[in-house]
Amino acid sequence: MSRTRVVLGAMALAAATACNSTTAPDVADSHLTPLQFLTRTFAGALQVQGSTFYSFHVSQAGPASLMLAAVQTPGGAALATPVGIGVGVPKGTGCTRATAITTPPGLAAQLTVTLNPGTYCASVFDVGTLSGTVNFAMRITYP
Amino acid sequence: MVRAVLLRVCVLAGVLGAVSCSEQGPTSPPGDVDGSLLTVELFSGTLPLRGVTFYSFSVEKGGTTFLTLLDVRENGEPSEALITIGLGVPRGTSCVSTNVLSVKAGGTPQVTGTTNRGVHCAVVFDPGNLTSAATFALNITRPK
Repeated sequence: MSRTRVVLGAMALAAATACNSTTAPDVADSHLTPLQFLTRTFAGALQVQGSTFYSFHVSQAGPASLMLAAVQTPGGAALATPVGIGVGVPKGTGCTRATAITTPPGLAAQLTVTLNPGTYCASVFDVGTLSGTVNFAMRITYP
Repeated sequence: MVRAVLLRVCVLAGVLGAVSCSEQGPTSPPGDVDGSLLTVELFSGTLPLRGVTFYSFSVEKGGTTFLTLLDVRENGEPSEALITIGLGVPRGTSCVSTNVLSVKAGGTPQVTGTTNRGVHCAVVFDPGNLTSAATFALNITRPK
């Protein structure tokens, strides 16, 4: 009887020890995958009442950001004129925007959205502020 | 014009009903196509000399997409010029296509490709055969 108790006690102790194991997981056990970002520069001309877009493919869910870095006259003079920028899905001959803002150019991201894997477009468009064709440069960063 | 309309009606009815058409009427099926799973979009516009234009569309369920260049006109007259059409994906400011073919306008699907769930595009460009800007009509029959 006492021998049986000793055996059961030893088994319980062994099981408890195993369950309380604090061995650190191997690196390979980790399911955290760091996001890798791609950056594209979209530059072109924007006409009065016009719009233009750039398509890109998101391979991992995560944040995508647009930075309208510059708006210039065709001669190269910097402008602070606000224009529209947005993110959407290419459809037909255009880009159907889901999110958009009006912003002057600057050196920090003006628009950030979270995207699932798929194909999207970044759009630049005149919101009625242009009086002539301008050149622009926008940086698109996405996972 | 009447010819173009006839061709459009024929192709639309043909693909959806699994019966394709020629100018003379229904001829042969394009394959085992379940019309209830397909939808049709018409991409029309003007193609500049050596120009390119594309049209994006989303597919919810994968399947086969058919492109039919229905009509090409230079100066308002039907053109026999070979125009390149293709299927691809929108990237950057264009449509990156790996499935292209130079064709004349006709009434049966000229380019067929598998389109998985996602955004795709149909591209039309002049490889140098036009003598003036042309109007075109391209039928895109694709999975819904």
